[in-house]
Amino acid sequence: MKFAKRITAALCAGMMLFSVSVLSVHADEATEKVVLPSGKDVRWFQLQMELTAKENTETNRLYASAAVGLFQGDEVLYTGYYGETDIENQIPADENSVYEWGSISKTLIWVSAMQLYEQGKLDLDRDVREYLPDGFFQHLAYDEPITMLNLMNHNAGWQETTRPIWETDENAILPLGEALQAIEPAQVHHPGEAAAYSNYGAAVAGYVIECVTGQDYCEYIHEHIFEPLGMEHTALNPAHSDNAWVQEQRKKMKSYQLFLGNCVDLGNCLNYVPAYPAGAATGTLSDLMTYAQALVNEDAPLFQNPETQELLFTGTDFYGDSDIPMCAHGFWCEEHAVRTYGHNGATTAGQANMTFDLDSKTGLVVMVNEPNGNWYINYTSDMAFGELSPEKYISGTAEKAKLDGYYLMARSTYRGMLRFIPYLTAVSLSNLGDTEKIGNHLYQLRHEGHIADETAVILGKKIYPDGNSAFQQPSMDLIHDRFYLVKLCLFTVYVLSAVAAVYLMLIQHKLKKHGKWTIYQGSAVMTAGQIARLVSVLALLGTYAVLVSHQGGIPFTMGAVLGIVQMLCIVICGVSAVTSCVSIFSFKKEKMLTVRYILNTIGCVLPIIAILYFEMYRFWGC
Amino acid sequence: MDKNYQKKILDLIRTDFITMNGGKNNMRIVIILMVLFFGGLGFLFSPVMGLYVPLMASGFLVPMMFQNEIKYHSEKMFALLPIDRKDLVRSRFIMSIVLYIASALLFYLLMLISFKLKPYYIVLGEDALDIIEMLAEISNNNMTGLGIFNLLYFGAYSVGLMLISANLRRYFKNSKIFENFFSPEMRKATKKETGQILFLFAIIMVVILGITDILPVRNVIVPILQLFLQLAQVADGFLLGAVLVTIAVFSSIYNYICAILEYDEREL
Repeated sequence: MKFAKRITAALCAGMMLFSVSVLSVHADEATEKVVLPSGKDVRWFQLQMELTAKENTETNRLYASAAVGLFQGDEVLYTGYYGETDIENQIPADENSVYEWGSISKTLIWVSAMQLYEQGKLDLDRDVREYLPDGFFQHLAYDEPITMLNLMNHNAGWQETTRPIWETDENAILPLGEALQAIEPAQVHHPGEAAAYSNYGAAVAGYVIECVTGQDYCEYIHEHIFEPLGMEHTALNPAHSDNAWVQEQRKKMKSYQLFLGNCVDLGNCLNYVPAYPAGAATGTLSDLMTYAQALVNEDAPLFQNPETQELLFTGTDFYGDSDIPMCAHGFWCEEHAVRTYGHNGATTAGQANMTFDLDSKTGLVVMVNEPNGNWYINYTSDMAFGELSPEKYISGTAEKAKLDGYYLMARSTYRGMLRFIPYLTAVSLSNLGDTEKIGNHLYQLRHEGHIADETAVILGKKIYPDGNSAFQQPSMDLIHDRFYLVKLCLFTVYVLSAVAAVYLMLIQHKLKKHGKWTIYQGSAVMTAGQIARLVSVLALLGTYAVLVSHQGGIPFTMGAVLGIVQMLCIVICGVSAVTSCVSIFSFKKEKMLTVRYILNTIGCVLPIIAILYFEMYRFWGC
Repeated sequence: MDKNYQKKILDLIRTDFITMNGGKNNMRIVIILMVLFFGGLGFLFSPVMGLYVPLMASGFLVPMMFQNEIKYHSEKMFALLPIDRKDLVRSRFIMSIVLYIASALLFYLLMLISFKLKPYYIVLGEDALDIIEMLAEISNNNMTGLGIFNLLYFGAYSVGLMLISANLRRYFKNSKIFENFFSPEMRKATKKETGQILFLFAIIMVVILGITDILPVRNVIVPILQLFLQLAQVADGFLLGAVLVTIAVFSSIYNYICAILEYDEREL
C-alpha cells in the first residue's frame, strides 16, 4: 500500500507538522474522528494534506497552490490553503483567493434547467430548437431532435469546436447567442448516439435557459443560485465583471506549470470564454463548498421541491446495459468505494474538482492554479471516497476478456481541416491488457490503487444502430474503427511523400551541381509536385500550430489561408500526376524514366487522396 | 538488368570478398568476436544488448570491408580495369547493405527469441531487469513489450543503415580518411561528424524543450510526435519500424547517388 509508509512517516512527524506554513482550519477532536467514505478518518486526510504541503519546498515544488475543502452535510470537516497564488510576490493562498471553476460551471446550467423543469417552463425531452431563435443552428447534419437531456448527457452529436473558444481581449467578447453561432461545430454523430463531451453543447443549454427565462443567463444564476446560497464571492460572466471583488482578486492570481520540481510562471492567464456558461465561474473555495453543500442537502435549498433534486441525481446515461449510471442530468457519476456525483473542470489557468457522496452527504472541493497535473487534484477524491474494489461487481473468478481493435475518441474533430486529429489519438484497447467481463456489456480493468492495493475501472460497451461498437467511459465514447490502420497508413504515406520529396529535391540539386541533370518531359511539373507535397505537409503542421496557439481553435482567416494552400497543393499534385501518367504512355523512353513517372504518379495521387479524405482543405462549416 | 550485368556485379562483389579475406590481423576477427560477445550477452542477459550490434556494424563495416584495399592501395587497380565506376559503387552498396541486413535480421531474430523465452530470468533469477517490459509499463501500457522491442531495433537498424550508406559515400569520396584514424582527413571528418552529432543532439534538446513548453516550438513538434507515438502503438511497432526503415532507404538512395557522382569525378 503506497500510503502506508506515508501514514507512518506522517505520524512520526507528529508535532512537526504544525509548523508547516499553510493556512488550514484544524478540526476539533470529534470531527477528526469522522470516518470518510474511503474508510479513513478526517485526521488521516488532514495528515496527508499537510505532509504533502511539507514536502513542497522552494527547491522541490509539488504544486503552486491549492485550496481543499471537505464537508459532511452542513459541517465543514476541513479546509486547507497551500502554497502561493503568486510565487514571485509571495501571495499565499487563503480564504480570499479565487480560482476558476472551469467546467464545474456547467453544473449551474444543469441545476437551472432542473429549476425551470420543476416550474414547468422547460421540457427536458423537447427539441431545444423550439426554445432557441429560428435558424439558430447552421451546421446540423441530422433531423433528429436535440433535447436538453442530450445536452446534459453530451450526446447531441457535435464534434469538438474548431474555432477559438477563448478570447484574450475583454472587448472582443460577443453576447452569448452570437458567440455560440460563431463557434458552432459540425454535427458528426446522430443525437443520442455517441457521448462526446461538448463545451458548445453545454453553453447552448445555458443559452436555452436565457431564452426560456428571457433573462440574461448570468443574472439568472445570480438570482436563483448565488444569492439564495449567499455566494458573494463568485463571478460568472466571461470578464468577471458581475463581481468587482472577484475580478480584482482574480487579477492577483497567477497560474503555474510544474516542471522538474519548479513552478514555471504562466502569468495571469486571463482568458475569457464568450460561451461562458460552459466554464467561466470563478470564486473562492468557501463559495464552491457552499454550493456543493446545497446539492447534498436533503432540504434542497435550490429547488421548490426536494424531489427535483432527487431527480437531478438519477442516472440519465448508463454503462452498457447495466444500471450503473455514468451521467445524472449533467453531473458525472464515479465509482469510488461509494458512488459519487460531481464535476471537474480545467481552464488555461487552473483546475477544480467537486465530488460528493449523496448517502453520507460527504463532499470534497479542490481548486488549484495549475492547468495540468497537481497532486491535490489527482489524489484527494480517492482519499476521501476510496477506490472501487475489483470485487464489487465480480464475485468469484472473473471471466477474462480480450478487447481488440482500434478506437477513436468520440470527442474530437471529424469534419474540417483537423480531421486527422482523431487518427493520431486513437486507442488500442488490446494494449491495456486483460480485462474482466462483468456482464450486461460491462467490463472492468484492474490496476494498482492509490490507497488500496488494487482497484478497477469500469468500461461499458454499446452497439450503435449502424452495428458499430463503442466503449463508454465518462465524458466520451471510444468508437471502433475497422479501417483504422488503412487510414493511419494513408496519413503516414502522406507525410512520407513529403520526406521523399525532400530527398528527390536534394538529389536533383546534387545532379545539377555535377552537371548531370537532364531535362526530360514533365520534369518541371514533377518538381512542382514535389514542392506541393512538402508545402502541404508544412501547411498541415501550420494548421496544428495555429490550433494550439489560438487556444484550441483556428480563426476563420487563418483557416482560409491554410485551406486554400491545401487546395493549390491538390491542383499542383493533380497536374503533376496527370502529366507523369500521360508521359508513361506517350513516347519511347528508358526504363528508369518510366519507373520515375510511375513513382511520381503514385507519389502525387496518394497525398491527394489523403488531403481529400482528411479534409485538410475544408476551412468552412465546422 | 541483363544476366551479363548481374554477373559483372556479382564478380565485383566476389572480388571485394577476396580482398577482404586477404590480409592478416584484420578487423574481421575482432568484429566476429564482438558480435559473438554481444550476441551471447544479449541472448542470455538482456535483449537490449543486441542493439549495440547494428550501431557497431554501421561504424565498423565499411572500414572492415575495405581495410586491405586501403592498406595496399589496391583501389587504383580498378582504374586500370575495364570497369565502370558506377558499377563498382553499385556492387559495394549492394554488398554492404546485404551484409548489414543479413546480420541485422540474424540479431533481430536471436534477440526476439531471447525476449520471448526470457532466458535472463533463468540466468539472473527473478531480479533480472527486463528493461523492455519496464519501458512498456512506463508508456502507460500504450505500447506492448513487443512494440517497444520492435521500435528499439527498427530505430537502431535504420540509423545503422543511414550511417553505413554515409560511410560508403565518404569512402568513395575520399578513401584516405579511413587510412589512419589520426590523419588530417579523418580529423576533418571527425570534426564534421562531431558537428553532426551535436546538431542531432541539439534537435533532440529542441524536441524535449519544445514538448515541455520551454521553447515555443511545441506547436509544430506535437503533431509529428503524435504521429510517431501513434505509429509506435499500432501493430506492435511494425508500422513505425517500416516508416523508419523507409526514411533510412531514402537516405541510402541519396547517399548512393551522391557516391556515384562524387566517385566519378575523383582522381584516383
